Order: sequence, then structure tokens, then C-alpha cells
Amino acid sequence: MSEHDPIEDALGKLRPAELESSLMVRLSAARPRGETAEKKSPWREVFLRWLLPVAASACLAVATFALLEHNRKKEPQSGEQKITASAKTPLPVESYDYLVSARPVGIVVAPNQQPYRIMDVEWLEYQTVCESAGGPALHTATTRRDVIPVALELY
Amino acid sequence: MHNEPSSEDWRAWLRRSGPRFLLFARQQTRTEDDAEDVLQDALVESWKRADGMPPDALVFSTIRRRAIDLARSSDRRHAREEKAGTPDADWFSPDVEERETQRLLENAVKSLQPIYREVVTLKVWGGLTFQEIAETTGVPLNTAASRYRYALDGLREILKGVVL
Repeated sequence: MSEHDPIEDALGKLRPAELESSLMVRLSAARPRGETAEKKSPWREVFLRWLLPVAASACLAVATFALLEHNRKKEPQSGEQKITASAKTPLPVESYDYLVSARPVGIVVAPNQQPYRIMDVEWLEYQTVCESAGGPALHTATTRRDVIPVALELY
Repeated sequence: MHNEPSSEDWRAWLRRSGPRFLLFARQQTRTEDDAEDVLQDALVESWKRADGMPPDALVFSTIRRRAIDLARSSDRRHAREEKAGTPDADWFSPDVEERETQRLLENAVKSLQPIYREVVTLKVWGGLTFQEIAETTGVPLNTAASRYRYALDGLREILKGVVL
């Protein structure tokens, strides 16, 4: 800065405008504090960084354990219900399968050159069931169809 | 954790340096409201960053950065611009004896391009060195010095014929 520059001298005589009273009040109220007090508290940091996560994890663990325990107590009841249900299911006493028909469909050759005859077979399934030992017997007859391969002998 | 100022220290600092910071904030923002917002935020931030009373250069650079951030906030900018009738505040304290000369000088400073005006403000009223001005404005040292010279030349041209 030149000491004899009239422009600089004139600028140097100008004084920046004072802060208005309303702005002074506002800025005075903005004095840094508040956060300082919070940051000064080591307990706050310990609480946020360690105690809070640990407490949250503990609560989650307790809730999970309680839920598992609750489900575990329920399981025997379910088992009893299954036993009761199975007891009511008729028990098979006697069963016979009768071949009703066998119809050749065709012959296929496996990769190992073994030929197979494909048979369409129909069975009559004759079954005797009883709800309980010594109880009344119930006879059922159902048909069943299967498609089965029958190996052919090579000479 | 920063050094919390006492109420008296804080107010004394505001009285002593507040006018210079407000002058710079006014030049960096579009309205008086923006200038006051930026000034408050910058003062608090600078004090915290310096962990005590901050150097002037830090406050000026914080004001500048805050003003740029504010200008980028388009929504707020539009809202401010729509606020009609905001008077253009006087940048300098009135001098009864040289009121006319002061008005001419103030208008001349206001008419400078922002890149020159901020250098003049930081040099003359901010009291910063060219090195500090360079750091504050983010330009090389030589650029800061040359901008100052260009600014003075510009003022000299505007005030040609005016007895200072």
C-alpha cells in the first residue's frame, strides 16, 4: 500500500458501519455455549456410545429368548394333538394287491444296450382298516395304475 | 470441545470487529437479511473451529464460504429476491464533515466488480496481508496483489475530478 496514494488514504478514513442494536442483541445471544456443556459431559458420550447399544442389544436378546421359550412350551401341545389325531386315523390291518391288467406299451433300449419292455399295469388294492384294536373293521378297494419297465433277457 | 467465550468477551469482540465482518458479509450476499444470517453463522463457526477467539482471516474466509453456500441454495435465494423493498444498507458510518465525499467513495466501492471489491475490503478494512487475502479468496498471492492494484486504478478512474 502506497503511503501517499490519496485513494487509499480516503478509503482508510471510512469506518465500517456499526452493528445495529437489534443485530447486536441477536449476535450476543448466539454466543457459543450449549453444545459445549453437552460435549463436556463424558457420561453422555459413554451413554450414547456404549450403554445405549448394549441396553438395546440386551432387550433384543431377552425378547428373542422369551419368544423362543414361548414357542418351545407350545410344541408338546402340538405333539399331543398330532398323537390324538393319528390315534383317530384308522390303522391298516390287512392289505392285498391284485394285478388286474398288464398291457405292453413298447420296448426301449437303455444306454447300456439292455432292452426294456414298458408295461401299463393296473392294480386293485384291497385294504382292511380298523379304528382301534378289536374295533369294527372297514374294507376299502381302490385301483392303481403304474407304468413300469420290465427287463428283457438276451440270448 | 471448544473454549466457550464469556458474555463480556463475546460482546467486546462483536463491538470491536463486528462492523468489519458485517461490511464483508454485506458484500458477499444479496440482501441485508442474508448478510446477518451469514455473519452470525460464521462468527459462531469460526470461534468453535479456532477453539477460542479466531483470527480475522478465519472469520473472513468463513463468511465467504457461508455466503457461497447460501447463494447455492436456490430456493432460499429466490425467496429473498422476492422480498421487495429491502433498503440498501449504508456500508460505512456517516461522517458529518465529509458526507458528500464519503457517499462518492462508498458508491465507487460498490460499483467495483466483486472480485476487486472483496480484495479492497479485506485489505483496507479487514487489515489482512496479501497472503491472508490470497488464502481467504482462494487465489494466488500475485493475483490478490494485482487485483488490489486494479481496484485502486478503477476507483481512481471513477473518482477522477473529485477532491479527496
